[in-house]
Amino acid sequence: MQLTSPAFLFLFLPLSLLYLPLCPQKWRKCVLSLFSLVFFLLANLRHPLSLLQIGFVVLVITALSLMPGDTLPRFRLFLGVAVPLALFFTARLLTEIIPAQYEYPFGLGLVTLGAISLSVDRYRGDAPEREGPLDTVGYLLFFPTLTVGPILRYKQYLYMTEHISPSFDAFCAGALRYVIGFLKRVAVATVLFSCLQIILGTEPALFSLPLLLIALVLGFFLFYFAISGTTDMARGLLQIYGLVPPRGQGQVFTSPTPHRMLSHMLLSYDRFLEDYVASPVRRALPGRRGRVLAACLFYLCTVLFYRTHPALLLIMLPMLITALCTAGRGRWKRTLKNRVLRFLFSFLSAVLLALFAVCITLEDPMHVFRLFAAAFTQGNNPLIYQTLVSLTYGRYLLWLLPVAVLLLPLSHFLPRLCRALTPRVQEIARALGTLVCFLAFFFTLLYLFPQFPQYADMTYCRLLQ
Amino acid sequence: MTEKKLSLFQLLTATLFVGLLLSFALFYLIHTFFGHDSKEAPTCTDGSVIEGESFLAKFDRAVYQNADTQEEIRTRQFLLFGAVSHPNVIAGDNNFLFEIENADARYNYLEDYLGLSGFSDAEHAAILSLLERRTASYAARGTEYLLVVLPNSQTVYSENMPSYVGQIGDTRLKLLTEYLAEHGFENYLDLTQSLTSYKSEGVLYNNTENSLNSLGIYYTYLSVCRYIQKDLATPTYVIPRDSFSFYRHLTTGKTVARSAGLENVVQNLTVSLSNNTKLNYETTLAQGRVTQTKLPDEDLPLGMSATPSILLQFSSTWERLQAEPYFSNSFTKVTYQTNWVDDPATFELASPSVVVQFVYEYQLSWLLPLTLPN
Repeated sequence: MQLTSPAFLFLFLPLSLLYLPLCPQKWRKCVLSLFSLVFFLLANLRHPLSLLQIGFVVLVITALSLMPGDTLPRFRLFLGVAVPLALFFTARLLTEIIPAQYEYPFGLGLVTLGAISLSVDRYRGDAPEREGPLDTVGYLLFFPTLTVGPILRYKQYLYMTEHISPSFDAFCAGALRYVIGFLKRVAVATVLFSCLQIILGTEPALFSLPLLLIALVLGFFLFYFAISGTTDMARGLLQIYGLVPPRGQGQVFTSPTPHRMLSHMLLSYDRFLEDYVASPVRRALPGRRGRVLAACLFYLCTVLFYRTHPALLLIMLPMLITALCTAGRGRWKRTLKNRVLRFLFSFLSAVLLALFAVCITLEDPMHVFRLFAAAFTQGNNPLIYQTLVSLTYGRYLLWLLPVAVLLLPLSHFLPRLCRALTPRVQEIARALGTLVCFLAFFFTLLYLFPQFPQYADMTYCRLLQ
Repeated sequence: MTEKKLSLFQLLTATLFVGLLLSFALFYLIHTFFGHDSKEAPTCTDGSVIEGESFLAKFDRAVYQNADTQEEIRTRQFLLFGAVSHPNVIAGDNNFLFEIENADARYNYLEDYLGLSGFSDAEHAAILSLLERRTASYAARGTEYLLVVLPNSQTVYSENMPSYVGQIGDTRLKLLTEYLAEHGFENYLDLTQSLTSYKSEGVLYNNTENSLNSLGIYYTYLSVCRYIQKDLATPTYVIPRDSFSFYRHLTTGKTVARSAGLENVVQNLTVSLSNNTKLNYETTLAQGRVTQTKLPDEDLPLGMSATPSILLQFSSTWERLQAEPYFSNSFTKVTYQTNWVDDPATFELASPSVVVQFVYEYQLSWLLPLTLPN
């Protein structure tokens, strides 16, 4: 079960929303933890092995959290980090080696990150000690963030769940945010993924340069819409349930470092790596050496979080080189030269990210070389437009393009525009925007949602596991 | 105490969010509990199947394997975006639907259209050798042999193929025709040019199936008769077009539309012979794959005595039925055979002056021997 699956949308969400008016304040946290447990069980119901794997991690972390704070702190840290990481990489490797026989457990990535965060925070004394086991289980399996985050820190989670205050304002804002996330994920990302799969499934003999270009563009935007859509849904759900969501992602398209662009998209993964990997390394090794090592580790963690195929690390070596080039520079001073350089690096990062998206979609990442070779040796190259409309959803994407061209600048200038309007006009404009969103939501539920069972109920192959 | 005023945004968001979710939930729950089996599609839109009898599996089926929803989706997809989600069907212009691959015939229309699957020289030589053997075999019995190739609809109506597919290339039919002409084989008629030239007279192919309609069959008949008359120097009575009346009507989509689930959306422009077409001949034999008709001499035009007896070999009964009103109304004795086997009994029964074999472009590989010489 995902945040976009029918069972969640039409059964779990409406039923779980009933708890808001019915449940007393002091029980809300416990009920939310129970919901998380039920969601996790339903999501992995068909895969008992997945239940066992994640169950084991949750059990170990819960058992460690029950031990007194001064008991073997290093041993607890070691177990708290090593056990989830070992199981995570085992699962990743099995997905690469025997993809047909092994089903990657839903939510394992986020449970692993949560477990590491909790263990390290406890060791640092940055997390409350000896909370109830239900809190730990609820934190690790917190269902709104189980797909792609945002990755919450334990104290953040405790603060949020202790201050659940459902309100009509928050419900409306959350519902709209959920709808926007749903549109990004189902109406855009799913269609992009479907087109990308068709393109990558093309016989090399029929592959062409326009197809390659379209694949790269689709790959880049797929990443953005899939991840930001899912996190928007998660943030919307938090608001609906009366929790205060963490801040949104930054400027995802303007990072000069490719893997940072990637981790920006994963909302708090960037912050997670900064807190638990890069900062400690930089503190231990000050200066350029520390920055370079931190960049290398950052790159490794980012790429390996998605896939553990060795070929992928090799193919994405340019990503590391670009990262080292930017890491070695330190802070970017505000000069014209730096602005141009930053723009060029951002563009290069975007291209590399697109390549990364294409590679992780492929069963064998090395196949990308065959596609490149076919694209550049193919003599007969049709127009990009012709290639796009040849795809099943090509014309739909062409419809989306003017909408995106219209909406992106509008969303940028909207705050400034709103300030110039009277409150009455602002209210009407907001209502109109809401109406358009819900029309699109209705169209998506009716037309697109029933078309993609494999993406609604399961993750985008290896993209969002 | 002041009460906070409900804003228009909040009113809309709450109403629409809850309303939409509950409406869809109810709709799917009703389908889950009370849905009839006939409302369940065999597969999801992407071809996958949801298995299991648990409540969640049934609920998922109500969403993804819902026949009503799927038909609605296909219709909207075609009408809004001009796209067909079926992997084996391409939507062309003027409501033409084209098949990509014929699995039974192991033939890929698209590859052939683009010129990517032409016969090799060895295959060309093998086909020529086969045709020469057939010609010699019939000639030894005093009969002329003619192979007629009916082109694919995308070959004749290439302008209706979507522009992204690209221009028509050197198809295997084109290359084979050139090869046979180069090697002086004359008992062969490729109808591509002739049917293309008759396109101005009306639609010759069904737009939702790779098959000729009645008008297309008439022009096939016309081309064959002229060929027999001219090249084989055999007296033939050709019925002029004015003697037949055709009527055009829209029917539900044929095989390609059906396979894409669009038979109710993309209608077929059917051209049929009028019901009052005069059938002067009588069927004298209808046994298994063989049918024979005879035309009384008095029904031939004045000054024309008996026309030759012909044996026509088709690959299906439907083609035979479509061709019958034309050939049987102009030849004294016509024997129809719905396979291409050189059967001595049928031959003896037909005692033909000419044997005409009809082959569709997608069936050309059936002319190849099973094992080619190295």
